Amino acid sequence: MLSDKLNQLLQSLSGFLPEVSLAALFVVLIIVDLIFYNKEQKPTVYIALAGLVFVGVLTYQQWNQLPSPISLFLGMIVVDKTAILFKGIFLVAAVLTLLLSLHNHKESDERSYLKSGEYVSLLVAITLGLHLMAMAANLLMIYLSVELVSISSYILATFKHNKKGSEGGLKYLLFGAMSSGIMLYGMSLLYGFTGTLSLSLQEGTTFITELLAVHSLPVLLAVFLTVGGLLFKIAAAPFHIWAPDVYESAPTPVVAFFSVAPKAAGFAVLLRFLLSTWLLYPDQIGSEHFSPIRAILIAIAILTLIVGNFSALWQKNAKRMLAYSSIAHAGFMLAGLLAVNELGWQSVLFYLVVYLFMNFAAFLLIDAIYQQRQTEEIEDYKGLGIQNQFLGVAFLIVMIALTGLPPTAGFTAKLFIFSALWQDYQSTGDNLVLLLFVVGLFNVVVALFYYLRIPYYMFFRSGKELNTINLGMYTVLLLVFLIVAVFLFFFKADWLMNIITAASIN
Amino acid sequence: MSVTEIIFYAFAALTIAGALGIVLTKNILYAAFSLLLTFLGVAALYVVAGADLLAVVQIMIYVGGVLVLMIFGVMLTSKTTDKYLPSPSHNRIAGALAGLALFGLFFTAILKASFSTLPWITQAEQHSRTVSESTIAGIGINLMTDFVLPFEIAGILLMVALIGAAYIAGRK
Amino acid sequence: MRSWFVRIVYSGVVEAGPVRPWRTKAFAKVYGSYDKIQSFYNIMFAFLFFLAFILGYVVFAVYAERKVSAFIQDRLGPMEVGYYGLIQTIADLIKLLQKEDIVPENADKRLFMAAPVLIFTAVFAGFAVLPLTPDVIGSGANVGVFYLLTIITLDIIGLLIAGWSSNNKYSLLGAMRSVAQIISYEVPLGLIVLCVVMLCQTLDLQAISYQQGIWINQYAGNGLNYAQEVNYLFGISNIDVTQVGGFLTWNVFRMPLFFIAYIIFFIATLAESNRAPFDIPEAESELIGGFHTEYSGFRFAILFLAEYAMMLLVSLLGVVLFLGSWNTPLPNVGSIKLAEWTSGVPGTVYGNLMGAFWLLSKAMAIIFVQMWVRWTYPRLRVDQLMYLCWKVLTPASLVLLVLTGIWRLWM
Repeated sequence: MLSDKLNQLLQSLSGFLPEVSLAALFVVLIIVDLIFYNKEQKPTVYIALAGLVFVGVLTYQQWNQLPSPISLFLGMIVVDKTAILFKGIFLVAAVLTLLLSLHNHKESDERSYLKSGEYVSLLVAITLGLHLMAMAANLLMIYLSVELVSISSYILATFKHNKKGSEGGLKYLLFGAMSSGIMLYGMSLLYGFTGTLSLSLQEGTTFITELLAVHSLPVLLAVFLTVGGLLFKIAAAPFHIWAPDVYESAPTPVVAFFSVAPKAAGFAVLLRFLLSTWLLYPDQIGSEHFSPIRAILIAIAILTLIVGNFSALWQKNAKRMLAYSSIAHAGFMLAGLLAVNELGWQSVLFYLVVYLFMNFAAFLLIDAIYQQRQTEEIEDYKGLGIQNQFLGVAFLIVMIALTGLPPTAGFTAKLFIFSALWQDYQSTGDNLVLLLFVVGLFNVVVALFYYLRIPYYMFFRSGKELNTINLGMYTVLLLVFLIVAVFLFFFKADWLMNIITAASIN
Repeated sequence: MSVTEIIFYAFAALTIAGALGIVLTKNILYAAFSLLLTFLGVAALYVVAGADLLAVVQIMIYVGGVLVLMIFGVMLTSKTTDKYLPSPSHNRIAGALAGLALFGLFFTAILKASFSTLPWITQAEQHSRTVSESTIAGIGINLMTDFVLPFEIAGILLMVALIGAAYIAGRK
Repeated sequence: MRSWFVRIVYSGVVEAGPVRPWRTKAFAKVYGSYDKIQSFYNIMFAFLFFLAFILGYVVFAVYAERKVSAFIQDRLGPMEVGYYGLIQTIADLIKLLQKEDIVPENADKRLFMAAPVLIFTAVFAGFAVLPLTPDVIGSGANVGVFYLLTIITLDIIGLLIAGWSSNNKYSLLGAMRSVAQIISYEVPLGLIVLCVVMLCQTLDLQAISYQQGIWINQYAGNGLNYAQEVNYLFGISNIDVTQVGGFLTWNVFRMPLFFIAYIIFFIATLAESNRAPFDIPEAESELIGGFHTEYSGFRFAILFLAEYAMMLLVSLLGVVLFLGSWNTPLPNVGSIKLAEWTSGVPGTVYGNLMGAFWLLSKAMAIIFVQMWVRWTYPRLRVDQLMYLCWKVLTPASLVLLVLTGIWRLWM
């Protein structure tokens, strides 16, 4: 019995290679940082890039060799193609973050974080945490991986050496600790009800049958406490307060990473938690036991959409504006998740991939301007589009994509979400879904105002004549790559959709 | 009422008294010291439940680590000669109402859950081992088999926290 | 008198029938099962014994401290009260108890008065899991040594309360220094204890004690049974010393590197009990007296008691973990069964008496070394203290931990 278990654990290691490599990379980076302790130029960033690419190759192999979902470490984690797709998203995000950090080597005090090996190694640790989040099939694993991501995030958020950085980091820490406490309480109740922490394929059924034996009020309470912690990670409405402050104060590459990767991981866990336990399918388990869960989540999605979009309208700081916009995007993705059909969560995946590229492009642009002008205020963007047409056009494209207009992939992503919602409405006739649909459409219009304000300022308002903005070759190439991706997924949306469908087959 | 029950209620009362002390006192250090009572009460409850290792771990981590850190933090951030470290209360009525409402919600929910009749608990009671048996060996084996991955990940998590703390504390 | 003595020795060596009335069936009929009565008796005995012993020991230790320091500094020490100043401490104690119990006007009175009690309780609670003899142990809890390390952390809270409630900057500084020091040194201490636990495969201090002597095969309890265990010198599998016993089966000889481990343990415990050269928390020249500056009279006496009890506790722990616990240091050499003669069979009065004798005399020897160190070495600076802990002792104990693990696999 015991030796069986040990054998299984040893075999699990082969399916766990990407994560083992990430852990090893983390340790190597710390040691390398120690060796180059007093040196000006450290190879840590390049080692991290090489390591992440290597992990990417391993993940790709895993994708190719995976016949069906496998459960590792005695049911602690499950590797399926959806999880691998998520892992791909995290790796791309991590690589892009490092590239973003590298761009423009003008040494100033504020960017000295790049010199510290902690920055890079924490980024690797956070990627490891995200990988585990995507695969976790056990409440304990979910909690631990969320904490790994959170604690690394708190530290990364304070990497700017100033008062604002500390303030943002502290706020993040306080809200985060509170929400993870709440999540842990919910999980402990769920354990109390079911006697198991496992959500995995075979035992998932016992989890749900045990839950059905309990009165619905305590179960709903426990589920919401648990989900609350995850909603914090994706910055959904009542749990979003931390986002603007953190986005404003943290280093821009880190913010770009925060706005995409932990959010995607939060959705991965939500998908696993809500779908694998059938909590969202009241019909499938033949009980009306859990039907309020969906209703309340829809209310949260509506609230998130409204709060995100309307708050973004009043923002003067570009990063703060993007913070609220990321809240609004979370609302859209949550809507896709709540359209309980195949297309629903496929559209969430599609949205996440597209959002990755367009958001990184937006933050790259903001960072590029910041490095030349030392400002992130939208007011100061006046006339920039005339001065540097490439910059202006790039900004215009990215903002159109974020709004969700053709011919960009942002449009395709929103289209999928809305059709999934409509499909769901037609099959269930649920008026709440219709409301969500309408609110979503309305918010796209609202979003138009604040997104397009930036290009408007850049082209139609004249600003002070300052030194001309001069983007380096590196920045331009990176930008072109991101924008091409945004266009590509519009014109060849089926490429990405095929991958996602392949991921959802098993 | 059996002896075990009396002991249970005594320690539960101690735990709650400590918790009330935290809430009701306005002096932060008094609150920290009441927390000591709560932690010790919880440890004692673990002993009553037969979880010997957990009880000791509870004291080790919460009293020896968390509480000392908290008291240290309070002492280092306030004027040392200040005897009174007040934490004023705001929105008393709204706060009390919210607290009571939340308590009512959780209380009814837990009553509704009726843990003693849950299928897995009644099953577990039938197979339960004698209380005198120690939990150490079982916990050790489980940590190295069923829960080896969380165990290792917790190691990485602590490493990250350590690096972060050193970075934040050590920068100029 | 003489026949009684003979009977005790006889019962120890040859195992003659019941010496103790609570072993009889009639007794058990009245008061419940034999095992329960015995364990209850043992618990009460251990409790009362340690309480009384600590009181007596402190009186003796203070006298010894003064005499040892006098010897080291080439002077006489107390000479006036009693023969060679023997009852000097008792006179001091009477003086101390008569003194006014001053509570400073600006102190936080309730906490100020409660702190000494908490400190002494925490230290005394540590004695609960220490075995005194093969049969007498306060609590045979499975978590044994882990509980001991844990419960003395309550001491830290007591120190903080005492320092803060005095409302005196010297007290507070002393308390802060003390706590910082104790917490830091708990890391190497814990790791070294972990080494021993790894070698012995148990947290139960009584089981660890049995493992280090000739009675190893007699131990069964707490889910353990050592009937088939064999002791090897240095763990080398062809030197069987199970029946030889004596110092050859002590933990320092069961694993060669435990000599180093014991030295680290000793240094760490010196710091844990705030003894010189780690006495910066109460450095007289800087802090007057550290956290107990404001205490006087009976409360000061309790704090003093707690400090000396802590010394005794860590010395006893060191003896139990490394130096053979209550086992005799004399080995069986061929037909000269020194080990068996100097330690009776467990369960007999002689066995218990010899056990207590060996344990306590070893502890006293360690305490002598502690005093010796105190009067020989100068006090460390704060940074030196932390350097020693974090950059020397902690890495060394981590290495030892790994080596012990490998050793255990080969054993």
